[in-house]
Amino acid sequence: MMPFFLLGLPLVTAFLCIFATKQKTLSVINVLGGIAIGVTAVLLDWHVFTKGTLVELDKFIYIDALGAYIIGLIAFVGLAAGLYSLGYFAHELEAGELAEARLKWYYVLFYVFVFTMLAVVVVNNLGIMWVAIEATTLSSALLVGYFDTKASLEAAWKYIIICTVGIVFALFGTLLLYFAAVHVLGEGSKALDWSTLLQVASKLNPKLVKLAFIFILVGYGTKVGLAPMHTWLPDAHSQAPSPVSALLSGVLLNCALYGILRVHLVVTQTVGPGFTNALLIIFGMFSVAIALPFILAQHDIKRLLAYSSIEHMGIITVAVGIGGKLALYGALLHMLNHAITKSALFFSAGNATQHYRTKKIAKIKGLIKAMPVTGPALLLGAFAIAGVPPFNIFISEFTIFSAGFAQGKYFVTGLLLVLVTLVFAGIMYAVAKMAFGSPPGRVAVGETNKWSAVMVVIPLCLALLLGVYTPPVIGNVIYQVATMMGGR
Amino acid sequence: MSSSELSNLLITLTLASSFLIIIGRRLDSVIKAAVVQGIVLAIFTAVRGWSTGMHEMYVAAVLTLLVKAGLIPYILNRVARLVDTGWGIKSYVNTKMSLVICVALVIVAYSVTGDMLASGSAVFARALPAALAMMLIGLFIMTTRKRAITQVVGLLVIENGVFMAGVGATNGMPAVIELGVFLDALAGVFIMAILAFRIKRAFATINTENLRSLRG
Repeated sequence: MMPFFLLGLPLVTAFLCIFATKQKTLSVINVLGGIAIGVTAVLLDWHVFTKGTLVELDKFIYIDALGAYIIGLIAFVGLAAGLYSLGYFAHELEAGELAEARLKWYYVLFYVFVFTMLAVVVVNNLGIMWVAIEATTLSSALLVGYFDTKASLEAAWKYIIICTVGIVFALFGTLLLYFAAVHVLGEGSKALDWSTLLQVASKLNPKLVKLAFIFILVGYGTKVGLAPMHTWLPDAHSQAPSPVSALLSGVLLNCALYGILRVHLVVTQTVGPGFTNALLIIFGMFSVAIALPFILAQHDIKRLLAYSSIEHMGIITVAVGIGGKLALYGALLHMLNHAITKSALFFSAGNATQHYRTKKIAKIKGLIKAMPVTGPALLLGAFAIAGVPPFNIFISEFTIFSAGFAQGKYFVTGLLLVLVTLVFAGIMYAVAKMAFGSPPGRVAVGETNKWSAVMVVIPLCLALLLGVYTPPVIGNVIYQVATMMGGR
Repeated sequence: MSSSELSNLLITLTLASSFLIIIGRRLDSVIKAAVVQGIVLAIFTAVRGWSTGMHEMYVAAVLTLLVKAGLIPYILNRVARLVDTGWGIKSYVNTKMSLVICVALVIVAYSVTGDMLASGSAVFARALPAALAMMLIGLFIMTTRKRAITQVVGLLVIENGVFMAGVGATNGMPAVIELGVFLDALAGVFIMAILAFRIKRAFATINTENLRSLRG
């Protein structure tokens, strides 16, 4: 029953929001909905990690360790972004940037978006998963264009056009995979269930499967933000309302990567690990390399964070490509760490841009003096995302590097290490410019509101906590997922 | 004429209808060409249903007719009328050059997938290169045409290509997935229409050339 609750709750929440008109009612629905989804996700994950894979509806719904892990991520960042939205939109309404009557559509779209992401992860059929991933694009495109300004509409248009094209390529790849599977399994939709595909993978036509993987990697890779298909990402992530940016960066990218991982697992069984691993390393490394110059010469704080997301998705992709249990462990841990830290950063950037009324790095000065909570939080968050100990990103990056060196992939790991170090310099330079100095006269001292400040501190504390101590629960969970993914 | 010959003819016709979109000089003729492509694709789907004996294919054919040749062109037409920015096609590449490039793309698609499927079914082996060619032509339309509506038509051509490959595969795509793909295509065009409206309101044009302020 739990998967149905998990899918039903966001839809119910979205539906209820349609009928609410007041900001207060919406806030209550939003908080209750977010918490209910969170609790269901925890219960479901508990079930999967203690009792094993959850199957419903004749294997239509199939949640194994990897799926359960991503569900946890979605529920967590979804709840955090939902809570942050309260303060964020309270300020937008006060500042008169938004009419109260339009607010409900934000929450409706928000929870439909959460629903589509959860749907990606719970279904077994790769075709349905494709439909769900496309649905994430459609629901979030309207969120990206929510502010109805020229720039946000431009971003939404680019986002929907580029991602839809990308994803049609993934459909073509899925089709090729189906064609390969039908020869072995016979007709019917079971031929696209990844649980079935995994069992017969060794009998599939290797040529077709390879071609299928290339199309799927390029297609879903567009949504992951892998270079050179990443061009929509900085626009969409910078123009969306900040809570949505956190959701896009923290989990949507991981959902798309999940699509690639599923197919990667099948293809590895068919043609051996060499082919897919090499492709993943190439695309991942290229993404990190492309992100670097844009981070070094960035003028816009939210675009800076968006390019940093491209970099981190690149790191995760490379880590999956390196393969082996330790690298997979690092990759999965990095997904969690990146989601938490990037949420903290997008929330602080949201506060800062609301307070200074600009996204330009050059115009945000003296943030620590002007905003006593957000300012230090942004600085510490930048340290965290750049991979400085004792924060969590350091742990996962360190794991990935040591796995790479342990496997003798000196060139790949060394190159990644150099790039990550350079990115560190770029991020710290930009953020230090904003954090220090004295604020311009027009900017008052103080936070936008208390709630927004609290929501910046919570994820940052988690980032610090996970940096000094990995709770055994999380360690075990990730270990299980890495084992399931065939790490040796 | 055997069913496989008929299928081959229809595959060729579908591909050929992409060229109607390329040579269209006005927005309404481009949308009409998209309707033609939808109709040919629907007939192809029905023929495949008849030759494979799978009844879901007929449902898919009717849906193709309704969505690809009916609803989507209707929405595009309405948007074009409501935003009222004239019917001219604006392109970075002129029609003659576009034709030459698209012919080259077709040749590329056929030479790349030529020996891919020695063991595959006859129809799929024909449909695959044509599908790839349509995907490339669709991409070409999307990258060279400046107006939002023509870009959506380009997307439609890509989708039609993939759909044709799906129908051409031995047993087609499973019905559930086909339904999902249709719903997505429809919802996608609908949302793009909404965005096109808002873009028109904000920029007073739906020329995507203006969408160039976000860089770096």
